[in-house]
Parts: sequence; C-alpha cells; structure tokens
Amino acid sequence: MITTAGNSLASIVWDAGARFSQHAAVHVDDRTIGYAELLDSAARIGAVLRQADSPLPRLGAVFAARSATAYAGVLATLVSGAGYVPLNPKFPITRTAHMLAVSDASTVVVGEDCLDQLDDVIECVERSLLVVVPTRADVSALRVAHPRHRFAGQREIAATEPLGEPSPVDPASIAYLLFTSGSTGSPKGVMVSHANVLAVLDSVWRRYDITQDDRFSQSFDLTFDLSVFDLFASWGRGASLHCIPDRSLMAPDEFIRERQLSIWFSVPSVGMMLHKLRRLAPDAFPTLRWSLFCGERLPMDVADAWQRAAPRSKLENLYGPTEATIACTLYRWSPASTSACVGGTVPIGIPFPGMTTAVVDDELREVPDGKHGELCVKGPQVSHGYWRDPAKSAERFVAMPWFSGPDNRWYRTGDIAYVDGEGNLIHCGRNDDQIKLHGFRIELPEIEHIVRTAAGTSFAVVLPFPENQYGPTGLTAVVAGTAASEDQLVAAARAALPEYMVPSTFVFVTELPLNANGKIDRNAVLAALRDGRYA
Amino acid sequence: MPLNDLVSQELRDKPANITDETGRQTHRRWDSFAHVQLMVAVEDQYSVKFSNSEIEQIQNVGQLRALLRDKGVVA
Repeated sequence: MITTAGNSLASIVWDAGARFSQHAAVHVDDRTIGYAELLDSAARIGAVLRQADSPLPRLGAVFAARSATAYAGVLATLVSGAGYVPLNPKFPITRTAHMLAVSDASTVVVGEDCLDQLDDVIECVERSLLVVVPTRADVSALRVAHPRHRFAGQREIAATEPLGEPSPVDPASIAYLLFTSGSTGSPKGVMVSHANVLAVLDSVWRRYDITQDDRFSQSFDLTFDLSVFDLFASWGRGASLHCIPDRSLMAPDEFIRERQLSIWFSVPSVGMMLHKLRRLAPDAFPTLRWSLFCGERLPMDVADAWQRAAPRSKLENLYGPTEATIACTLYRWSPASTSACVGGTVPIGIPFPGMTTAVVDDELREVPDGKHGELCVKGPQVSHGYWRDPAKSAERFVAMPWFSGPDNRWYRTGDIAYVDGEGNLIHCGRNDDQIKLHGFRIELPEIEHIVRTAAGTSFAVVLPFPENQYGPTGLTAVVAGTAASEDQLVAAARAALPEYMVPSTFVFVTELPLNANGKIDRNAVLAALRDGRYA
Repeated sequence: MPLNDLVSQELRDKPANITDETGRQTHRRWDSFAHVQLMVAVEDQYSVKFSNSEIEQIQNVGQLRALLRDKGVVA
C-alpha cells in the first residue's frame, strides 16, 4: 500500500531526496538541478528564514517567477516550518504589495527577476521583513535603502548552518496561502493545509503510479494552485520537473518531445493553441503516459486530438477550485466519451477518493440526478477557508441540513452542475459573476470595481467577450456616463490588476440597459456585444 | 488580403491603426492567444508554415512581413 511519507510537504520531498539524491529534481533555464543540490540550497535558505521573528501562523512569501530561486524558495520556506505565499512578478506592484502586506508573511525569498520591483513592494509593508536574495552576494545597498527590513544574501546564507531536516509541523497548519480574484475589489487568500495537499497526493500517486522515472511538465506559475501538483506530485516520488519557458507555452510540442515528458499537466488552453496550430498530429507525443487538464472547460475536439497525439497516454479532465485543493473530481477520456460530452465539453466526472460531491438547490437541499444545482464538495481536501475573512468563510464553507455523517463541512463552489445518467458530473456554468479565461479564475466584480472607481460612475460592467467556439477569448468593459478616456481606464486597471484581468476592449455608451430590479442587465449588454450593437 | 487588413481583422482594430510597429508590446489585444490565432490566420492566408521558433520570435507586424518575404510572399 502506498502511503504518504511524513506529514508535511517538506518531509515528503526530503524523504524522496534521501532515496534519489543523484536524480534530477528540476530542469529550469537550461540548468539541471539534482535533488541533493536543490535540498541543500533549500536547507541553507531555510536556516536563514528560521531566524525571523514570526507570528503564528508562520508564513513566508516567495517572490519569484518559475526559476531555480522560486523552487528553492518554496522548499526553504516549508523546511523552515512556515507555509508559503507565492507572489508573481507579472502582477502589478500594488497587488503584490497588498498580498504581502495582508498575509502577515515575515520573510520573503526574492528571485533575480523581481529585484526591480522589490523596493516598491517592501516599502508598502510596515512590519519588519527578513528579505532573502539568494542570487546576490552583497545586499548592503538594500539595507541602506530599507532600514526597517533585514536582508540576507549569499554571504549570510553561506555563513548559516543549513537545517538538517524539515521542522515538524502540524498537518493542519497552512502549507500555502494562495490569493485568488476577489469579488469585493481585492484578492482573497485561501488557506490550504499540509493535510489538504497530502490527501490529494495520496490520490494522485495511487492513480497515476508516479515513480522516480517520470518526467513532469511545469507550466503553471506558482500563484496558480495547480503548480502544487507539478512540484509535489513529482518531488514526492523522486521524479523530475521540466519547467517550460514562458516563450514556449504557446507551442510546447517540441518541448514535450525533446524532454521526453511522461506526465503532462496544463490548462486546456494550451491544448487549444496546439490544436489551432495543427501541432497535434497523430503520435506527436509518444512518451506521454498521462495527459492531464484542469482549470477551465476541456473542449471535446481538443481532448480527442490530444488523445490521438499521445496514444500511449491516458487522458483525464480534472476539476477543482482552489478551496478544495488543486483538483477534486476527474473524468477519464475514452473513445466512447464523445457521447458523454455536453455542448462539446468533456464531463468533470466523479469525485477523487475520499471526497464527496453533492448538487444542491438554493436551500441546500440535494437535487436528484439530472437536475441542475450548485456543486458542493466535502472531504479531506476542503481547505480551512479564507484568510482573515470569517464572514466569507462561513458563507462558502457550510453544513448541509440533510447530512448526518461525520465531517459535515462542505465547500459551495458556485459552479452549476448536474449528474448525468452515467454518474458523471456535468459542469454547466456559474451562479455568480466568476469566469475562467484561459484557465485564469476571474471575479468580474473585482475588475468592475476598478473600472467604476477610475471612471467615476457606477454604470460599468465587464463581460467575457469576445468569444470563439471554445468560449471567451477576452474581456470587454462597457461604460456609461464617464468623461474618462480609454487610456485612463486602462492605466487604472493595469495599476491594480494582472494583465489577464485588464479588459482588452472598452466600449463607451450613453446608457446601459437595466433589469426589473434596477440593476445593470448584464445579459442584455452581452447580447448587444454579440449582436454588434456596441461596435 | 493585405497583411495589415488581416492583422486588423484578427485584433479587431481599424486597418488605419495597424503599422509595422504594431506588436505584442504595443497592442493590448495582441496577447499570446491572439498571437496564435494570428499566426494560424497568416499561415492559411498565404499558404506558408511557421516553425515554433518563428512563432515565438515574431514581435510585430514588420517582423511578420519580413518573415513572409523570406518565404517568398509579398504581403
């Protein structure tokens, strides 16, 4: 029987590292880093992080793009006994600073590619931080510029005795705090525990029979929780991780072949792009043994083409919100699956082992199979809730009045689904204004808050438009009653939001249609966009 | 179809706004997904084939026009 070794993310990686010390752990930026080197680097940085005065729960930020520093920084934070808070240099400085400030992280490991943003980010944080820059020998200039904070570079790391083994942690403690788009104008943090992630890993290691010979793709930024699968499903089994450069993410077909990847995991959008580019030729990916997709709807034609391109792989469509840790349902694609698809979309399938799903109505009553309702999940993967937001947590993490068993704590996903005749969950959309765009989770009200504030009007909506056969391809803001220019609104959006949340089109109109309740009629606005009436 | 017209169609912008300098860094709708769509549209329109490295390296309309010229297409 396979069991998870240890009770923390660090301990499973250290256990694997001890057995496979000479194996490659990660290939990144034309470098191959072995387990011994990666864990030594993490243990040294972790020893420095341990010196920070940290409140409980202990959290440390990792401010780096996918890089050697990012991977070592995640492990260093974990081995020091803290949970990690991923920060992304692709995000605006104000957003990164906000996440760092509200997270209460006491340390930050910084990548070379983030140093140009560091001054502005840490200046916004009033408490004293311990900032570790593993790529710099001399950090004296930073000390002078920011006397409130402490700094460590290569010299300090080299002078510190490395940690011998991971610090013991409570499995219920936070492994990572991940910020997602928030509906009230700022991102919200989801607290995911070691036990949550270990439950996922236990399922995927059994299902996918992962060994030290596997070669994983690494396509997800660390601010996307699916990256946790990449890092820990591979490292916990002594496998190697292959970081796909940003420039190759549009067309990673040659990367898959050159690296002889055995496990592919990405958003379906990557498959859609390869399909459009006609790169999914039969047997294009002969080395893949698992092809996994998650994060947005998987189109049937993309699944079919990918399966032909990777005929020796098993293809699965995974589904799961961050709040239920990485993925909590799965669907195995087969030649017969086309008849199970609805609207050209692959089902999201059945719950992971140990997880339970229910489809409920507005009163939280379970609805019969075939009836639409809100998808709710419970089990060991359901996270603690939202950081410093007990009201929001109480709203989304609820007890079911009809459930009499133990662990009556369910996460209301907001996704609309039903169970088909084969027992598979079919995803049918949302019951709110959250959307997925190229796999990114976006709360449209967060963008609208920024646009309305900058435009000085409450008459603005942001909608998922334009669309193609696979769904939305961009965002359009429709604004009424403003003197603000498009350039001003774009600048405001770019200052607060990641690029994928900045509307690509702004439409200015004299008035917006209202519904019977006096609210902006979003459906009517979307219909007008589709009809070209706002062109 | 002239290249500028094709680019304007893919980026949903006026042809007059498309110049050789129009590119991934300057046009807000030219993201990686639009880039893939544009490359496919250009391949279809001019019956050419781009390698992955060509797709990755093209940054603007001028570079795209020069690459087409190298492939014997005046666009």
